[in-house]
Amino acid sequence: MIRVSFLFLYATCLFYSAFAQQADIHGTVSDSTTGERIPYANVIVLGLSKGSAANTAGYYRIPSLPLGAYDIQASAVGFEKRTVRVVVLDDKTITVNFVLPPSTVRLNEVVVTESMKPELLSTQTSVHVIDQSELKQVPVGPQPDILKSIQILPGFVTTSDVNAQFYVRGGAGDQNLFLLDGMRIYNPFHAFGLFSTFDPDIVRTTEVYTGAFPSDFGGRLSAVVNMISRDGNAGQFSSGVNVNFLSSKIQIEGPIGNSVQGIFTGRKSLFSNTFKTYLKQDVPLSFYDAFAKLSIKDPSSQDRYSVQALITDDYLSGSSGSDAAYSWSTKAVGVEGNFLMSDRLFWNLTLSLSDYEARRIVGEFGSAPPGRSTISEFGLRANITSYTDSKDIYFFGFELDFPKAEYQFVDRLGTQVRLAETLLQFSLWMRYQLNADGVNADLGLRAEIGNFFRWGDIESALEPRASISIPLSGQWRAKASYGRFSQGLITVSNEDDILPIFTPWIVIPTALKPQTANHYVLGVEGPLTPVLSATVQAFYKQYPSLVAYNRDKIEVTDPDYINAEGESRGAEVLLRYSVPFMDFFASYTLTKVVLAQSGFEYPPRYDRRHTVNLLNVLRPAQGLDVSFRWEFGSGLPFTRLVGFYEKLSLGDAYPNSYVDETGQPIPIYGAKNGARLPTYHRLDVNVNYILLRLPGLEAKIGAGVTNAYDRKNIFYFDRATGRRTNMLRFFPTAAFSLEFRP
Amino acid sequence: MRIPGSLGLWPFHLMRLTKWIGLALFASLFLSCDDSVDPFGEFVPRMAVYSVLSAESDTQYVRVVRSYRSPDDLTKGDLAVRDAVVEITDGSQTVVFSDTLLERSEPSEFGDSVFVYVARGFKPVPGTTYTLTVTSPSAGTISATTRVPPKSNLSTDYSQNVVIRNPWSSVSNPVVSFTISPGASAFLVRFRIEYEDITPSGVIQKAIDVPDRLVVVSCFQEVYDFQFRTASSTGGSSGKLVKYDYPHFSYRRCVELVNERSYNNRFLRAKFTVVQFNDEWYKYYTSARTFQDRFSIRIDQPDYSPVPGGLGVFGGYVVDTISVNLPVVMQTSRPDLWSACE
Repeated sequence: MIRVSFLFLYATCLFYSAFAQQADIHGTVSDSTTGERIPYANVIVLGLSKGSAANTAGYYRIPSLPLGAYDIQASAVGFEKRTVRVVVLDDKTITVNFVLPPSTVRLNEVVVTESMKPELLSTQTSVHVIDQSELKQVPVGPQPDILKSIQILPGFVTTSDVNAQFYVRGGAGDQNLFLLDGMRIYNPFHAFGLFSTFDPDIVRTTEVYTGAFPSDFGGRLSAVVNMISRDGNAGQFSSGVNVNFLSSKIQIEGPIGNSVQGIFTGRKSLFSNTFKTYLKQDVPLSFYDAFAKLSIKDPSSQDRYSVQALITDDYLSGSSGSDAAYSWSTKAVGVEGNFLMSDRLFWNLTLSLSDYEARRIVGEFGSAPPGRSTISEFGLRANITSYTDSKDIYFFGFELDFPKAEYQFVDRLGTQVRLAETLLQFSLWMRYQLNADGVNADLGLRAEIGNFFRWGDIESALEPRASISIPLSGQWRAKASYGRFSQGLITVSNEDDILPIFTPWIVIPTALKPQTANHYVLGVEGPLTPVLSATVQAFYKQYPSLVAYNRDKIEVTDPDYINAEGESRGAEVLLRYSVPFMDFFASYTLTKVVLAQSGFEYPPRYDRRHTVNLLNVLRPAQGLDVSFRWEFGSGLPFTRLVGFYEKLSLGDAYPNSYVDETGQPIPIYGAKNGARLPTYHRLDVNVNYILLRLPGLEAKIGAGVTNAYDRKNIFYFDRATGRRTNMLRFFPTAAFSLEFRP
Repeated sequence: MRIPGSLGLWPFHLMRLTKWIGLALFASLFLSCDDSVDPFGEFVPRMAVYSVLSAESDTQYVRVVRSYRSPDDLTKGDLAVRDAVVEITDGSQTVVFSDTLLERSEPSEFGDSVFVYVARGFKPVPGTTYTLTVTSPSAGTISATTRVPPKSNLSTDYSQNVVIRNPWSSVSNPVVSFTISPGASAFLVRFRIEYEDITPSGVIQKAIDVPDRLVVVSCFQEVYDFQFRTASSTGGSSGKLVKYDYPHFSYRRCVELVNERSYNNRFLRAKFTVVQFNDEWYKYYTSARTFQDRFSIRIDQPDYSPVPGGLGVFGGYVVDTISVNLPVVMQTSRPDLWSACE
């Protein structure tokens, strides 16, 4: 198929060169202050219906302009527009690199930003693109956080305040793919989910796919969070420090010579100290993370290369000798290249190595068994963009990953068990993005060759993906998407755990089928008024194959896990309102999730029927912003306890040994997840003010209140006693940050 | 030209929007004020029955207990269902059980007697299906069915008898062989040395179980870890011949132990016992002991009962034995012991 595409392209080029003199215009769009490339910038030819959007590397290409003079304009959210006059004299490709200065006047940035990214958003149904500026507007507690911020988007469900793990459109927590510059991150959370491991200051853009994602992503069933990091400031050296109740941070960035720039950030938790000092509470939790990136740009071409590394480490100590301690660590390093292989062939190549480890460390009197889960991975990924004479674009590429998942634990018999397996994840994909009379389509196919060799199953190896967007009246569009997905690597933990702390990864054994899902999405979107836009989508997610606890496991020889089925359906509404002094964002999600195995159906514990998120950002004065976030979720399912009974174990199985045996009290449960917890709601308020802005120095202060009206949201209750534990109560925070730009 | 929504001008549609948002917030606060939750569902009393029919005994037992709401309500003595009518029938004959109190063989923290239903003179016939019915005015009625497996054939050949009678004559392991009975889901093999301990107060019948495995923990101090096998699945192999051997070292060590424990003893016999369990018994047994699964990575405990609508187990087993008479006196050969430590 790829070869056919190439032949077609080649023939097309020959045809045009023979009969017409046309030239391409290409180049990059960069930030004038930092030198960083700007993803999704729009570049258009004024007066013509021609244009292009920059890709995530800031590269754009406008193909086949006839001889003549043109005004080419580049624009991006938060930047001034720039227009350049270009004269096409012959058929040679013309390079026009735009350098955009940041806009001095704040425009309707936050909530209408997505409409400024047509390349991605005009066709796909379930994608959101979040820039750094948007990220920081969302009050999510004491400090900005990427994964907490994206949870205001429709389709996301969380099960607790202290857990950034999320469930997207009825998918399980391990069905989400996290990528940072192409590196797969297996545990993107600090402190069992209190924060993510990504400092928001290192992330330039985050693409969030909540379903039916295109064919260049795979290996997960539900969602993709694709983060692209910043390159650092190419113009000048700068540094900053930030201290708040929960963590401290240092950041350094700047140019190293003419064509190299770098960024380094490091964070360290301060929980234990602050909670102990001010609240007299012992929080045995600590973490640190560090990110470093060096980027090399070739001034004479569009090529850009980078090497980046992420290190994170967490430790949760047991509060007593009988409690287990936990540790998590991630080490990842990646090399990325963005370059033109030939005139119309843009390559993005990523090579990554990562190492993830989670440990459960048991003390002298510990009851839980010790455990260790690791994933060592080598990955190579190529994403190639092939531009054509029209607006149509071909994407194709491959991904070669070798995650080695190892799970070691000591079972209750004291036997050391080790499960270790390497999964070959080799996939090929292609996409065709076309535009005809305003109808946009994105058609793709992903071939999971590794799945085919492992499971011999063609159904889970071929994954068609399609999205289509049709213009309606005005600026309204109707959209539809379909995609098939598979997953061969899953986490295993007690699926009824309220707060899964230790979630080991394993490769799905060949005795079971890999997990698969089909996504169907339908929606409309458009402006209700010039400043108010709306998106309405309905989704249906079918799981023909899931891996679930074998409820009927009785004998030793019965498998622990079996294939189950499931489905999730729902609807989402997203409203965005923006005026210069205020942004308002509202999302509502209706979801129903059902899992089924051997004829038994039940809702998983993350089946939240209604979710509402409201976000209001006010900017009453220069340098001052006040944000309000209100979140509402209907009750999550739980299993009621309906009594206890005395269970005999039949002892050593010798005759009549049960007659005078003293039994153990065993709980009797009601219908699995048949009851619902109370509703959840919470209001967070944040105020940020630029205290001092001098040449080379900026000081900011911030204050916030989490759970402003002190709502008692239930976290969990003790099954035996019924004692209730609530989530975060009223919690004031403050932050101070200094940034130096010599 | 006025830009809609520009600073200082509060547009009409924004006012309307704000009003609705305010109303929604206000309403939702009140609507969701009720945050109480009862972690306990409605308590419906249930009965658990425990009865395992033994074809080798003419006394059968049934324990009947009731469920309770919470551990706070727990008073162990009150758990027995004392007003039940307990019957077992094979379709032609019905046996009615009477209640009694049994002393615990190993008094624990609950050292009181155990309330059980008992039928004396009732010896289930191997290969027969029985139905248990428990009717209690206070706890309801439950019924369950089980089939006692048919008997099997045990054998141990003559050469094995030599090894058993004189363990130091060979390094062969004592072996027993038997065929798996139809309907048997699991079996348990026991190998015991029966002897008499002659004391000034009289002769006491004693027995010692030979372990499947004897692990030397410390040679210097002669510390051993005796490991006994639990019930094993037959894998549904009805009629299959099973050979089961015991390490000769385990057997020798047990002979020594008899001599060490009793200065004046008389060896009687070495006895192989094969207990074959039916499916109801085995499924309950394994589910109650899931943690015995060496390969399981799950941490939950399933709760299974073959009693329809109830809890507990109604199962059955059949016992077959074969004995080898031992010399009254069995000499030991100490040096051999140390070879295991080399």
